[in-house]
Amino acid sequence: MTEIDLISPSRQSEWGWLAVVNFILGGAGSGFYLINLTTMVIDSSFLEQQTSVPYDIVSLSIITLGLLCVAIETGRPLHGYYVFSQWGKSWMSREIIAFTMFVSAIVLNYFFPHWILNIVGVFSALFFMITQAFMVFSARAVTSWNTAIMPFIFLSSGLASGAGVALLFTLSDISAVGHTLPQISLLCVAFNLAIWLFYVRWYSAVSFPSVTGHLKLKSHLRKMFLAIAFGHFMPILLLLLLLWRSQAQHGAGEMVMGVLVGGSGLAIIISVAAQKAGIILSAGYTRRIVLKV
Amino acid sequence: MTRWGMVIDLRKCIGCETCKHVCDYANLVPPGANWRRVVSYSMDKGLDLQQYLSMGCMHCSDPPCLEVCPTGATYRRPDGIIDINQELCIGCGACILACPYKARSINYEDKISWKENIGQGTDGRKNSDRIGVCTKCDFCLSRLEAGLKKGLKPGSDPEATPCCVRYCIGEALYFGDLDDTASEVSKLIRENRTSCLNEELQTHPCVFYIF
Repeated sequence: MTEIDLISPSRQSEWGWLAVVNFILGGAGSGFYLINLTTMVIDSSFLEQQTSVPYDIVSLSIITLGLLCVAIETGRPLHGYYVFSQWGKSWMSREIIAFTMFVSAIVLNYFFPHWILNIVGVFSALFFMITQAFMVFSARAVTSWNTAIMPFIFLSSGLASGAGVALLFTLSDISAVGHTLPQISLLCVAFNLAIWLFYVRWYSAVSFPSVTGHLKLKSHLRKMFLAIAFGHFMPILLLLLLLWRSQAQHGAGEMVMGVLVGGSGLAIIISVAAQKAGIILSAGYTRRIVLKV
Repeated sequence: MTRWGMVIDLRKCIGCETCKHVCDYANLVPPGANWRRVVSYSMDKGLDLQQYLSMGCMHCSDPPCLEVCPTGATYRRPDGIIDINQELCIGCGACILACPYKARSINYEDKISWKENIGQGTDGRKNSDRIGVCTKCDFCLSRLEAGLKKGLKPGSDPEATPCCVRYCIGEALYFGDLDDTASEVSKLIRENRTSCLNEELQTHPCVFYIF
C-alpha cells in the first residue's frame, strides 16, 4: 500500500479571533460561576461577601459577550434561531441550549432565589463548558482538535480562567479573599497545566504524525508551551506566596494582597487566553488528504 | 434504493481542469470556493511523472459535516446526496471544519469565478442568495432531478448527468447508481482496483478512484 499525499495540511481560517474570544469568555464565565459557587459552599464567610454586582450576573454577562462575538463571525446571524433545532446531534445547538438553561437559572434565581436554581446553574455552566469542547472536538478536519483530550482541556482551562476571574472579582473587597479561593485556584491552575502538558505530549505522540512535515508547527507549539508554562507557574508562585503570608499571619497589607491576588488572577486569564488562541489559531491545521493505492 | 456516486479513473485523467471550470460555470461558484478541484501528484518521484486527481464533495455515507450542522441545513437525501438548505444555513463554518476533504466553503461576496453579476445559475439559484452561507458540490442536483423527471438515466444520458462528468475530455469521470449492480459505476468498482480518499476516517465516501 502506497500513500499518496494529495493536499498538505494548511491552517484553518474559518474560526478566527471572534471564535477564540467566545471560547475564552465562555470558559471564563462558566468557570467563574462554578468556582465562586464552590468557594461559597466550602467557605461560608466567602458567602457573606457582598459586591454591588452579583457574581452570577457577571458570569452571565461574560458568556453572553462571547456568544455575541461569535455571532458576528457567522455568515447569517439573523438566522440564529434555527440553532435550537438540532440539539439531538449538534454540539453547537447544545451550546445554545446550555446557555438558555443558564440564563433561565440565573434570572429566576435573581427574582426567586432557591437552591434548586443553583444546581440548574451549575449543571448548565458545566454543560456549556463541555459543549464548547465538543464543538472543537467534532472538527474532524483539524487534527489537533479532533483528539480525545480536548474536552479535558476545555474543562481545566475553563475552571482555571474562572478562578482567575474570581480572584480579580475579590479585589473589590480584598479582606474577604480567605484561604479557600486561593487554594481552589491553585488546584485549578495546576490541573490545567498538567492537562496542557499532556496535550502537548499527546499531540506530538498521536496526532502529529498525521501532519508530518509541519516542523514549523512543532516549533511553534514548543514556544506556546513555554509561554503557557510561564503563565501558569507565575500564578502558582503568587498564590503560594499569598497562602503562605496569610497562614504565617504576617498581616499582609491590603496593597500586597491586592498585588498577589490581582497579579495571579490576571496571569491566569492571560495564559488561558493564550492557550485557547494557540489551540484554535496556531495549531488549527487541517488534516492532509491522502489516497492509499 | 438509489445511491448516487462517482467513479474517477485516475489512469485517464489528464489534468485539463475542464471538470473544475465547467462546474464553476454551471454552478456560479464564487471565487476562492472549490466545489471541484484538480490536484497533481506524483506516484514515483524518481520519474517526475505528474498525475492528476479530480475531487469535490465525497457525498459520504457517514458524513462528518452532517452531525455538526447546528441548524439542520446540511442534510442527506434518500438518494445519498449531501445537500445544503441555504435558507437554514447560518454560515457558522462548523461543517467546513468537520469535512476532511476541504469540499465546503462560505460565499462572502456577490461574485462568481468567471463573470460578475450574471443573474442565476443552471440550478436557478442566484449567487446573491448564497452570501454568508456554505456551498459545495451537490452532484448538479437540479440537472439530475430535471433529467429524472424526463425519464432520463443519470450517468448514461448527458442531460441528466453532473456537468463535470458530462464534459470530461478524457472520459475519466463516471456517474451512476452505486446500489444498482448493473450500473456502469458498480461494474467499474467491481472490475478494477479502487480506493477512496482518507479511508481511515471511515466516512465511507461515494466517490471512488480507479488507480
